[in-house]
Amino acid sequence: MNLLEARQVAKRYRRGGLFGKRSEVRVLEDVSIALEEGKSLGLVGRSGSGKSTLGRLLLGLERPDEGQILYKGKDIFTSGKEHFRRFRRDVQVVFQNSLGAVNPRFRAVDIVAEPLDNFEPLSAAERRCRVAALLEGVGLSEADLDKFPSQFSGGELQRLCIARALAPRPRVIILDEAVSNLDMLIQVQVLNLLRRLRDNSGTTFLFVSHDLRLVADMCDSVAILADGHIVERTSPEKPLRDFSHPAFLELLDAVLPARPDGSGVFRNILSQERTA
Amino acid sequence: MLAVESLELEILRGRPRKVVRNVSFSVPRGRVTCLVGESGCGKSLTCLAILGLLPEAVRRTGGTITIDGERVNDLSPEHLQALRGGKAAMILQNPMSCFDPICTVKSHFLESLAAHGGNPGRLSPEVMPESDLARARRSLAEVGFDSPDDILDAYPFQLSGGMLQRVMVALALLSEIRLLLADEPTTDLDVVSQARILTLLDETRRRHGMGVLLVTHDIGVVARMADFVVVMHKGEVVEQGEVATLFAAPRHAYTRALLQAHLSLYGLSFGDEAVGVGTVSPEPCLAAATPGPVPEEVRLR
Repeated sequence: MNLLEARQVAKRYRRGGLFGKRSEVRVLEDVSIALEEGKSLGLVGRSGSGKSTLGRLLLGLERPDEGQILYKGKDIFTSGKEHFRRFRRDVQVVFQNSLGAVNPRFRAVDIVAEPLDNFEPLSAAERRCRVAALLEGVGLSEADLDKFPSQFSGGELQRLCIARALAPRPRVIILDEAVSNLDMLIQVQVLNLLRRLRDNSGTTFLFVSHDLRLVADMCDSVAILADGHIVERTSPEKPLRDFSHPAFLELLDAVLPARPDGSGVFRNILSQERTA
Repeated sequence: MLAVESLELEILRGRPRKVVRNVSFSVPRGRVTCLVGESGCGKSLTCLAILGLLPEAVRRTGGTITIDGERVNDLSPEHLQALRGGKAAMILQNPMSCFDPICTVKSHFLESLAAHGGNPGRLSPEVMPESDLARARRSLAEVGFDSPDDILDAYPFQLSGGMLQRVMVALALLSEIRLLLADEPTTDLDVVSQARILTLLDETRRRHGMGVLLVTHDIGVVARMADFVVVMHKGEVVEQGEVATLFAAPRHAYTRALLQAHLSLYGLSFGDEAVGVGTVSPEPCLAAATPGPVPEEVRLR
C-alpha cells in the first residue's frame, strides 16, 4: 500500500522582490512519487534539483501549486483536521543541519519530548523516562538529558534529532541529507541504527540525498530528480545498475573511489553487486 | 615545504587544556598530504596554527612550524600577513559564509590584492587598476570560469556553492603560492561539485608544483587525492604514511575503524571481495543501542 504519495505536484517560487525583476522559478514540475509501506525510497539529485522542496511538500510544510499530497490515499489538505493531525504525527523528518533544527535554549529532554507534548501529554516523570529510552535507542545516554544543544557534537546532535523524530512512533521518516555530513564512523553508526529501525519496526523511509552509495545501500527503490523532474526511477524491469540518464551518470561518476589504487570504483561495484 | 614539529595547542577558556599534543608531520612540495580525523580532533586548529590564525582562546604552547625553510613561529604579525597569500594560502569549508554578501566578487579580489602588495588604499571596485583586474581575470580563468567578468560583477548569493568554492581557489591563486591549505573544501558541496573541485585542486597542484595540506574527514577524498596521510585522533597523530600503505595495512585501531566504515559504504571490506552491502558488523557503541521494537498496538493502528 502507498503510505505517502505525491501525485503530479508542481511547485514554483517567486524570485526577486521590491527592487529586482520578478521572475518565477519552477522548482518541481509534474512529479509523482509514492512511498510504499515498510519500504525505503531514495530520492537522488544534485543541489538545486528540487529534492528538498519535494521533501518539504511531502511533509506538508508547503502546499504544492498543482497536484496533491496523499497520506493513506487521502489528500492531506482537504481531508479534515483529524487526518492532517494523524499525518503530522506519523510522518517525521530529520534535516541535514541539526544545529539549526533545535532550539538552542531547550535541554535535550525538551527537544526530544516536543512532539510528545503535541500528541500525547505525559507526566513529567513518564516524559523523562520515555526520552531517556529514546536517547539510549540512538546511542546517547540518560546523562545527556539535561544538556543543551551546544554541549553536543554534530554527530550527537544529529542522533538527538533522530530520537526526536522517533518519539511519536512515526510510520514514515524523511531524511533530508541527514547523514551525509557526519564523520565517517558516526555516519556508519547512524546508518546501522536506521537499518535496524527499518528491520525491527517496519518504518518507511525516504532518503533525500546526493550520495548514490548511501541510496544503493539503504533503499528498495530509487528516483533520480533533475531540474524539477523525475528523470529515471527503478522498476522491476529496471534496477539501479541499468540507469542511463545523463543526470544519473554524472552522479555515479562523481562518487569518490573506495581505494587509492583505482580499485573499488563505485560504478563497477554497483554492476557487480547487483548481478551477483 | 611545510614542517610541523611537536606542535602543542592549548584552549584557554576555563581550565586550560591541551587540544593538540605533540603533532609532527611534513607536507612535501608538489604532493597532497591529507590530515584526517573526526570533528573535534584538532585538525582544523592545527591548520589554523600553521598560518598564525589561531582564535584568541587558543594558544600555541610548544613546537615549531617551518614553511619553505622559514620558521613561522618567530615571524612578526606583518611578516605573517605577507606569508598568507604570498607563500601560502588557505581555503575553507563553507563558501557561503566566507564571502561578504554585500560585496561583489570584484571587491573580494581587490581586498585580497590590497592585502598582499597590490595597490593598497585604492579600495573601490570602480577604480580597480587594469593590472589587478587582469590578475583577477587570469586567476578566475584558471579555475575554469569561461567569462571571468560576469563572475567579478556577481554577488556571492548569485553563485552556487561550487562556484564560490572555485572563486575561493582563484583568490588563493592570486600569488604564486607554494603551499595550499584546504580545510574541508568540499564537505558542503554535492558530489558532482565535489568531484570538480577536487579535480581542480589536483590540476592546480600539478601545474604550480605546490604542496597541499588537505584537511578532511572523508576517506573517499583521501583515496581520491592523497599521496601521504596523517591520521589524528583526540589531538594526537596516531598514524602517518603513504596512502597505499595506510589502505593496505593500517596499524592503529582508529585508522582501521575509519577504513572499515568507509569501505562499508561501498559494500567492501578489507579483503577485495564485495561482502554485500549492508552486512557491516555493528559499531560496538551502537550494538547496545538497538531501538526497542515498536509496540504491537502502535504498529497495527
